[in-house]
Amino acid sequence: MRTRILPWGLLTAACIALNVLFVLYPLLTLTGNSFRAADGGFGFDGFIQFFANPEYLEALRNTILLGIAVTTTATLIGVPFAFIVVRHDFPLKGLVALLPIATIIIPEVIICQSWLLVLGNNGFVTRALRAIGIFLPSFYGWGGMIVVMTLVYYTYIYLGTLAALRGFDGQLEEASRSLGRSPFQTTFRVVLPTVLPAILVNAMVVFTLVVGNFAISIILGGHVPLLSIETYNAFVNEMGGNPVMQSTLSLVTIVLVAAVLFVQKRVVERRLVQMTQGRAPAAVRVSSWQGIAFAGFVLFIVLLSFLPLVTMFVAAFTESRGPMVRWGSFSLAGLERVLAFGREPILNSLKFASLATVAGTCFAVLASYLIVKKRSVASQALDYLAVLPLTVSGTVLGISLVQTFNSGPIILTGTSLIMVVTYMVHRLPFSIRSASSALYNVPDSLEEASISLGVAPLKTFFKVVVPVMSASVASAFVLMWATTMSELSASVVVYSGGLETLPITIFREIDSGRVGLASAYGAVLVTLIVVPIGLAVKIFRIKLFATK
Amino acid sequence: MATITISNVSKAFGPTPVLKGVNLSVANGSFFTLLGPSGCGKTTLLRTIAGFLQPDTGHVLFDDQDVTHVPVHRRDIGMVFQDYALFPDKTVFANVSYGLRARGIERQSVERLVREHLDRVGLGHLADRHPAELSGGQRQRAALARALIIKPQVLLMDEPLSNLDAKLRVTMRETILDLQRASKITTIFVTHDQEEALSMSDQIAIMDRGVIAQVGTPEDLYERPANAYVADFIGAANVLSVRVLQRANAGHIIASLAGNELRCVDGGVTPGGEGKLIVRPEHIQFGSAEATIGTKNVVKGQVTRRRYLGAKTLYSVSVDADLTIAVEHHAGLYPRPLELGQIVDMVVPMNCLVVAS
Repeated sequence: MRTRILPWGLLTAACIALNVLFVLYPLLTLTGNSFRAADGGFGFDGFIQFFANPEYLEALRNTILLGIAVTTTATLIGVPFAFIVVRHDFPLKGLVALLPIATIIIPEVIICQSWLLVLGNNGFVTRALRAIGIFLPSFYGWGGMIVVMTLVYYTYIYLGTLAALRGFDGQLEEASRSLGRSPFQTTFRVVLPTVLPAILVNAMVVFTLVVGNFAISIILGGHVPLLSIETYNAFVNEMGGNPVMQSTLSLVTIVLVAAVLFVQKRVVERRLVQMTQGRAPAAVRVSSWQGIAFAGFVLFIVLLSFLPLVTMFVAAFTESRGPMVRWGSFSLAGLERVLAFGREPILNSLKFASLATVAGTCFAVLASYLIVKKRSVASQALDYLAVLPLTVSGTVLGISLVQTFNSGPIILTGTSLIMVVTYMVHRLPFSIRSASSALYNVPDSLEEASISLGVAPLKTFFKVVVPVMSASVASAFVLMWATTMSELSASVVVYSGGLETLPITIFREIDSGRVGLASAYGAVLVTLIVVPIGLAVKIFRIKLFATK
Repeated sequence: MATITISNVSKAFGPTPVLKGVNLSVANGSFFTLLGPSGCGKTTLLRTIAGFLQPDTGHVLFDDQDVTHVPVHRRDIGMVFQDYALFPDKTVFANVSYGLRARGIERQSVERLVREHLDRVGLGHLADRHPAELSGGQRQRAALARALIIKPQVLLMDEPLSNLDAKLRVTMRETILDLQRASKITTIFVTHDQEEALSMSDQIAIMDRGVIAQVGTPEDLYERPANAYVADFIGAANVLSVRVLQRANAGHIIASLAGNELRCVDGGVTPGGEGKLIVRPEHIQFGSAEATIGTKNVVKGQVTRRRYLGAKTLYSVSVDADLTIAVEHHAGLYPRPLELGQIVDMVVPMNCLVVAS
């Protein structure tokens, strides 16, 4: 009896302890700091300022508006796109498989910077149009943010709708048709209502991502006040002082995101329809003109998704001075500079991301095993703690970690550990989700069979459970690598001298207007993300989107 | 190979008691079946014997060794699961050799033993396949080989045939029995299928809501059910309300069934008390009124329903408004089928049991 309970009990306790230390405790510190007066005692100064300062209220309003706008545009692209792809056969359809890859491998900073190269004040399209007398509105501000965020986030809605439609039982449509509805009516009266909750779940995810977005907001936001930017600015201004405003703004963001997630969990997810037998109707080959239209649409989306990559690689090998790029020229100056002065961020990025990916994946496998297979009050608590970071945007997470580990009993500021922890906590809910989805497919009897054959429980975990999970763990591993390599919002708050990563460097180069250098760093970053993934996919035969 | 003794084992899940003081003794080398409807506690008892569950009270003994607190992996058991539980990422060979390698047996012997066992279950040619590439029956054979190869003291099977189609189930029964007889491993087999239990077992324990209702050979249970529950669960039975009138000689009593006096076996109901008469449909004989004059144990009724099933015919015979008796009538026994509405005499055999209701 003792040998069976003890290891899992101890491991659960250890996982909870880690979560309390790096998730709960920092969030409580942050909450505490938001209720402080100017003299450091208890008070509501932060909230008084928040409601007194019109800029903060405007930031809140703008953030919600931006969230709604981007969610709407992303849905308007993602949903029809998914319908077209699932239900129709047309030329070039195979290209859509590339789309999720674009979102994974191209960091947001690079997408912003590339779109600036195209449509920014000195962008080649802007200048070309200006030459023929057409003046485009500034890309900074609402327009730029909505365009770029839509292009980044529509994939969430596209993939979510795709999954729902693939699981849709075609017999329901046949039933509707047999009862006298036209195919068009059937789509709107039967199919759409059934997949609507799934669309909404993903739309709400997009909303929370927009609220928490840092990179696109700060690079393209112009003078539009937004919560994430105000929070970051408050953090920069209060450096070394009383952190009350940054904490208050962080708390407002957390409450906003948590409210949306609460509605998602309690209202929308309950309406998700379980299909008993998902025999999706076969894709229909469409007529030639329709096929051309669909192919054009797909090609357009794929091009828009990969355009930043192309622009960036071209710009990386092009002569430039400050924000001016001499298109058509060729130069290795940018790359030479990167290799001469950029070794530190390159090595830092590789180091932090690989440590965080390895440690984070191991932790996720263990924690999800405890949550799914060793149900207890403690593992339930672990489950709740592990999803807590979902409510916390990167910037807010970074602020809470800085506030907690900058002073006090444990000081981590300035160490590599804080960077690794930041990455791990940021990705924790996602990696646990993908690890546990694999675990639900492992029946308990599998472990029992191994134990009955004489293999001790802990050894069974490694010999039986881990191999069965390996496929989805591998894809979680790859996703974590890509996302930690491109992470900016949290690390930009947490880092200090000597801990700069590639995304932080790129962000600073963009900020300083050195687009050529930013592109060169970008090219290096994307290469460092893609090459290991490519190797891993080849060597371990990973199916990247098996769980989606 | 061991004798299994279960003494006073109780187990509750939260407030729900699942096993209530179970006592059992399973003879060395025998094929023992736990039979009962779902929720009766048979799987819980099996998992307690395996060690996946700890009893709240009581002990499990293998021979003289108390294994109650021995963890599963040190109990030396073999287990066959309902869903086979083959490791999906491993080949048939790797699955079957898994237990041997855990025991640190050298490679050459492993190779030889696995080949031998795979051949024995007819999977010799499929050693390199993965479980997903096997049919249901082949998976079951692989799971059997995996459990048997470690030569466990005790083989435990949890409804191993329930995922197979009807025809395969019958052939797999023979395979399992042949392997068990050859290896002489004490085997506990859980099922809810009475035909499976009757055809395979040396001994059967019928379970009812956490207690053992009766233990015995298949013949014992069928011919001499200890109570109405057992009679009803195994095969079909008429369970009829009677009043016990008096004791008779030779362990018999006289009971009254709707006014008809019947001589039956005494199941412990005191005269004057209510009881249940248990009689199987195929044990009741029809006789024409003239032929049964003077015969004891006759009940008169009217045929109200007839279901022709080829080899046999099922009749419902109404004695009065509240009493209908099922009678099974084998083809060839009576030349002419009975007509609906016909008045018949039914002869109830004297070895039927009257138990307390």
